Amino acid sequence: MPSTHNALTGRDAAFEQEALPWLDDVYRFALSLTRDEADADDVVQDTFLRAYRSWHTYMPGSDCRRWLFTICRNVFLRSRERSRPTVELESTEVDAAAAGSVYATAVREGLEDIFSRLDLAPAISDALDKIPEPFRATLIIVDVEDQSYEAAAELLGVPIGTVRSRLFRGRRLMQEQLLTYAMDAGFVSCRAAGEQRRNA
Amino acid sequence: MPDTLQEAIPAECMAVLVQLWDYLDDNLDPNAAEALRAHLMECAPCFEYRQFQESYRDAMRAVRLAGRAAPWDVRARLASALAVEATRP
Repeated sequence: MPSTHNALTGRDAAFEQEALPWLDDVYRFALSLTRDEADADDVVQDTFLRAYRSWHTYMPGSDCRRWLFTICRNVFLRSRERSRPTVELESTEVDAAAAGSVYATAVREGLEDIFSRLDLAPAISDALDKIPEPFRATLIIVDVEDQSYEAAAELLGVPIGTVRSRLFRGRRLMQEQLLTYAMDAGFVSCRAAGEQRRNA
Repeated sequence: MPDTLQEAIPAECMAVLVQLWDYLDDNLDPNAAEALRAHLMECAPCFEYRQFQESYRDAMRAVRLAGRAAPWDVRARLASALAVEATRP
């Protein structure tokens, strides 16, 4: 396997040590944004070239992964040259009630432990693909990549309150998708399975 | 927390629905966080709702931990591009 770490010399040691170790993370982030391997390859390459050229603007000791994600997101948006979609947001209370409704459905179907029982990685990837923007990008940044609201706001160029609203809706949409997946696949909870065995 | 949303939701349980994610994401002010924590300790349905959301969060994070690495050809292409870039004045 060729090492990107050997490509640079001397003065570029800091870039090698701080930026290149995040290649896998940036690749995964680019792939989640583009949903296409070829497009992700191009975005990753452009991201690191831009980062290399702009390395003098990076503040040593700051969050390099976050800095690279910002560049990656900008590269992706420029590559798509699309306007930011506008989505009507419901009030927090309405979204909160809807989130409670998803949970109530899970309890009613005996699936309240669904997220802790199954290897949901494939289902989560499929579900994420079905989540509309801008909710999907916000979920990827905060829930998958474990970035802060502040970092997400910076990456997406929106206020923190907007990140919060998008997360609220996005999480509910994800849970609806995963619950539907579990019900369609015929999953039953451990408790329900035990009751079924006792009743058999 | 009531079993169905048709029932009236007590204010403290509604606060859990509205503020739980701010609490889990450490974005709630200390006083509100303390009030929420106290209610979660005494309200079993709200405590279980918290467990449900925490397990969702853990499942999402697990996707990252199990995430794929950049493929060989992406690394090779990037190494080549950076090597060329490094020779520029």
